[in-house]
Formats: sequence, C-alpha cells, structure tokens
Amino acid sequence: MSRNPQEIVSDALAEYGSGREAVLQILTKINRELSYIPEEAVAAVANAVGVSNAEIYSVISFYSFFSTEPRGRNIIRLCTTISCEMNGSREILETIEKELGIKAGATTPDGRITLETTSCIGLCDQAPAMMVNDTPHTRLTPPETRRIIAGLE
Amino acid sequence: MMPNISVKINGTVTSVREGVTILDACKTAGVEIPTLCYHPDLSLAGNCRMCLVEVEGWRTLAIACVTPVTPNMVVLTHSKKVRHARRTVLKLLLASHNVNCPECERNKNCELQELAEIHNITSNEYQTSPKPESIEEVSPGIMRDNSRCIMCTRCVRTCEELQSVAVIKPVGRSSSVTISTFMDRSLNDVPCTQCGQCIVRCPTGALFETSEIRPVWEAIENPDKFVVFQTAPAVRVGLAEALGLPIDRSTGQMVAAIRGLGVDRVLDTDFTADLTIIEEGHELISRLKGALVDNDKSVALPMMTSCSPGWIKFIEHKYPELLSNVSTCKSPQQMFGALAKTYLAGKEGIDPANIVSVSIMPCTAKKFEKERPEMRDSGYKDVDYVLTTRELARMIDEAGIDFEKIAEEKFDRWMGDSTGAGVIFGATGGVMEAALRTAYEIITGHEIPFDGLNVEPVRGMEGIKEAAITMPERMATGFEFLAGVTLKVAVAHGLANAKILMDKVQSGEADYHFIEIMACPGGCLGGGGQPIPTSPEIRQKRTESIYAEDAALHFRKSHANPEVQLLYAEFLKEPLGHKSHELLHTHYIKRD
Repeated sequence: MSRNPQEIVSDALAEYGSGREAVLQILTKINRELSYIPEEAVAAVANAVGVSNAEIYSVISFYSFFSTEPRGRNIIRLCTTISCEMNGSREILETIEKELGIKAGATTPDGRITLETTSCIGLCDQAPAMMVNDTPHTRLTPPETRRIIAGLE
Repeated sequence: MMPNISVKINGTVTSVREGVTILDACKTAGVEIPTLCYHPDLSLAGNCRMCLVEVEGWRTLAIACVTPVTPNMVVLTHSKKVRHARRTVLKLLLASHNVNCPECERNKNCELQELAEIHNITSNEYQTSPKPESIEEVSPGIMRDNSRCIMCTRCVRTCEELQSVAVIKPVGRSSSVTISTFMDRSLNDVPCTQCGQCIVRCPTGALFETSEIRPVWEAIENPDKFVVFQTAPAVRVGLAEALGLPIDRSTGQMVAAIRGLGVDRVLDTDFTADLTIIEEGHELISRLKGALVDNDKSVALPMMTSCSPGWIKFIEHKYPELLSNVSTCKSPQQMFGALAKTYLAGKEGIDPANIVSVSIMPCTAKKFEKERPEMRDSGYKDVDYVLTTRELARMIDEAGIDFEKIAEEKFDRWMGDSTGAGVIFGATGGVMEAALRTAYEIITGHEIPFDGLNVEPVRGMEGIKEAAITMPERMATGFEFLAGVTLKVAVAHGLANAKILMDKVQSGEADYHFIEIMACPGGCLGGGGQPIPTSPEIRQKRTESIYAEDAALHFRKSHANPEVQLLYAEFLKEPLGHKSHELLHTHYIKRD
C-alpha cells in the first residue's frame, strides 16, 4: 500500500537534505513511490527547500518521467521516433491500445497501466522498442507485446 | 577593482574595465546592440540571442550581454554574419509570435516590433505555421496573452529577483514551454501580488493591465452620472512620459486634460495621502503609548504602512502572523473612495448612487484593491474603476488633447488640496518622510529638525533605508512619555527588500518602531501602471520630479492641508474618531 505523501517527503528530505541541489532526488523518490507527485507534495518540497511552488512545478514539468497527475502502477513508454516508426511502432501502439482499451496518454480505469509514447530511447538498432517501468523491451511484435502486458501486475 | 583593458569595437580601440560584458563595452564605445531578454534591473539570461556579435578568432557568434571582454578582443557588431544572424533570430521569434499589432496594447511601444522595424523585416520565410491563438488569462490587475510571449523570462526574473514572489516560471520543455504558474493556475489562484512589475518589463504585449477604459468612457458619456477622478501622486510624474514627452511633472496639464475628457470633478489622491498621514501618525503615537506607557503586550510594533496594495497582498500571503503590525489605515485611494460617496456627495449635494469614482493610479494592484469586498464602507463600491497612468494617456490620446500645449488648470475643491507631504507618497521613503514631518510636530510642538523639512536619510534608491530620530526632552503636552526616546524607522521598496526586513522583524533582530514598505522598486513612481520601459535612470528622473513638486508646493506638511482641516472640522471631528474608524480604517486577511 502506498504511504501518505507527507511521510514520503519527510523521508526524502531526511535522506537528501533540503538544498536546491537535492530537489531532483527528492522528486524522483516521491514519483517512484506514488507514480506521480501530488500537489501537496510539491508544496511541501517547495516549503522545505525555500523556493516557490511554481519553481518546483517548473522542474517537474521539464522531465517527462515526472507527473503531477496520478498514473498507473506500471508505465509503458513506447518509442514513436523514426527508427521505431519505420519498424512498426504504429502497429505496436494499436495493439497496446486495443489490449488495454485506452489511448496513449491515458491510464486504465483499474489503475494498472499508464500508456505513453516517447521520443527516442536509444534502442533504434533493436526497434521497435518500449520501456515498461525501468525495463526495456525490444524487437517488439504484437504477440510479444500482448504477452508482456499480460505479465504486468 | 579590475584593471582597464583595450578592446577593438568596429575598428575603434576602446578602454574598458576587464570583466565587463561586450554589451557594456559597446555602450561605453557608443555602439548600440539590440537586446530583448537583457534588462538593467535583472540578472543576465542570454536566452534571446538578439545581441549576437562577431568576435575575431571565435568559431561562433558571441552573446554580447553575457560574454565578458578579454584583453585585445576584436568585436564586430554589424558584420554580414551578425546582421544575418540577428535577422534570423528576429524572424524565428516573429514566426512563433502572435503578430497582430493593431490589436495589441503595446502597439508602437513594443521592443520586438521596434527591432523588426529597425532590422527591416518585411517578409518572413519561417512563418509557415498558422499564427498562435490569442489566449487571454484575466485577473483584476494583470492580463496575460502567452501567444505574444517570446520567452525572454524578464517577467520570471522580475517576479523572483525584485519581488521574491516567484509565481511565474517556465513550464514544460523545448517548443512547448510557456510562462505559467503552479499547476497552470490563474494568477487569481496563486500568491501573485498584482504589482505589475512584470508588465513594465515585458518587451512585448504578453503582459498588460486589465483595462477599464471602456466603462470609464461610458460613465463620462452618461449624463446621469457624476464622474469623480482622483489622481495618485506618481501619475503626475509619469503621464507626460506615457504620452511620449520627456520625463517631467505635469500636474496642471494633467488636471486640464482630465477635465477635457468630460469628467465632472478632478480631485487629488494627495488629499487623502495627507489624510492618511494624520490618521496613521495618530495610530503610530497611540501604538507607541500603548507599548511604552501602558505596557500593553497586544500592541504590535513596528507599525507598518498600508498604502501599497501589492505589499498588503504580499504580507497576507507570506507573513500573515505579522498582519497586526500593519496600520489599519486604508490606502489613500480607498480613503478617497469612501469619502467621495459620503463627504463629497454631501458637499456637492449629489446622490452617492450616481457618483462614479475613478482613480488614476501608477499601479495595477490598485485594481485588485478596489475589488476587495470590505472596500464598501460608503454603502457603495468605494472606488468603481482604476485606470493606470498608461490607460489615462490612451484616453487623452483618443480624445485628441494636445498635452504639450494645454494650459495648466487647478484641482476642484473639497478634496483637491494637496501638500508636498502628499506628493512624496509617490517615491520610496515618502510616506515615512511625510509621517515624520507631521508626527514629530504633533509630539514635540516643533518642526522636524531637517534642513528644508527634507528628511534625507529616508530618500534615495538604497533597497533598505534606516533612520533614527531622538526626541527632545521637552515635548508637547500629553506626549511627555516620548521625551528622549529614539524613534527607529526603516524603509524598503521592492518586495525582495521587504522580505529581508520582514525576516528580521520576525526573528526579533529588528527593533524599529515604524516601517514603510512599497511593493515596487522606487516606490509608486516605479509602479506597474507607469509608463514602459523602466530602468534605474528613468526612476531616478521621476524621483527628482516628485521632490521638485514637493519643494514647489506652498504647504509641505500634511496637517497644514486646509481642506483636510476642514474635513476634520465638519465631518470626521477627530483623528481615529468614530467616523474615521467607520470609513478610513480596515482589516486584513490571511491568504494561502
């Protein structure tokens, strides 16, 4: 079960300190535990570090791995840049969308999976590729993709 | 101190201090470099690339505003390469800019437009995508249209560096960056102070005041309405500038021009500035008595001024625990509003329901202040509309009034008298000086012992100013408790400086009795409703005009204002009296 945001922020501050240079580590920890960074956590971090809420929000908005919206327990990031596109990422996207019943950018109603498209993840030689949480999956085919999705908790 | 070095700019050798930027070196050499993100009040950003120059031996062009000169550097500022690069930069900026100049508030006063003209940009091969949609976001004082934004971040730096507010930041990445707020909220829903300092530093029309020109014209054109204008101290040193004339005080022309618009009464906020001094001066004395004589722990000192609505909103957001330190006096604008629909209505024999009360302010936060729900003590909305100095200039232009040639006129009576003390409210330190001129005389029975009544220690552009005045041993009757007491005061302008002072007050490090805070750098004369652009030099000139106006006035002390004396005799009866509390004092609220 996920802990309350305030607790996570306190832990992160204890671990990394409250200097401006610690902001990314603090945010990463929150984002990893909750899958997103809730508003109250942004305010708590801003307060501890001594910057405005807007500044923390600005940092969050710069990194696509951070989100201020709740996301699923698993995040699929399918590459749609040119090499993957030429090797069939569009078909993979359609497969996932059909399998999950959601469009890219959305989260399944049960909160299991968020589907996102991403720019190049550096796996062009093994295209089409996607990241599921921190794990890369390469040379995707529709059956293989369905198998990966089925294995997600 | 760094030594002087030689650099060659466009073939001419110039001696400059080592470490200055190429931009500064060019200024010294009299060579103009176009800039956009650069602003003399702010840190360097170097993001717009407008100031690119060629440096001999360098592979790429240098950003003049952030690159320091080195010995024997050879700089070319309008080589073919430089001109080509600048034109490209301009075209790229224009391609993502909502080029709809006639509809823009900043038409003919836009740095981007001016540079496009100077660089002869007549066609734009990059303009392939459709123009961005105009997206407007409204708050009482400030409007934003991000389709006109060029991402120079002057507003972001202003909000953080000068005001320590930091509610606007770049949000997103790459081509999707916008200047936005926490969770992309409206300025209404974040701790924006509505000071408008971002507006006066925006190079384009991405930020501008929420205009009320239309309803003001409608009121003037409505024969059933009795339209009363009040003009703030700093407007008279900004209006000429807003009309494209040199910076100078223009009180008489301003009155004549406003009357020329068809306004029924032209009155002066300086009148209520003087009134503020009487009320606030007595409040200070009463707080001092409570603290020093009665040993009343509930009396909050230092007392802080309450004229600047940006400052008030700031303290309500950031230091709510210090709100009891803020004077309960309404700002001069709101005192005027409350009296216009009571005292003035009676004097003129007009039904207050038909009075339209308009104030001309150097300020955008005043537009917010007039909307505060508690500002209805007259039984009506005390101030109906607030126009900035710039909006008044637009109305004068629209009416075809030749401001340069118009003959000077005087304010109307009952609330039109002003003193030099009221005028200097427009400059940082002015409220303090005016308060000291009056309070010292009340408690000692003598004029304040400064040459020509000029309290120099609280004047000037220092961010935080301090002064200490020791009271004589012989005091006026009733004020003996202050004999020999050293009155410590402090003045801050710009909210970043206010924050430094408040932190000191909060930690108990400061032992002042009275603090003046103005939200804007330079005080109201540098306000968010004043002419654009602004710079330290411009604010210095406006300051000189303010003090020249003070020196030229017959009455220099608020308590000498004849109409203020009449107001007390006929209507208010006494300072801090029943009527005053009903109409002239207010309270504050904690804001998130």
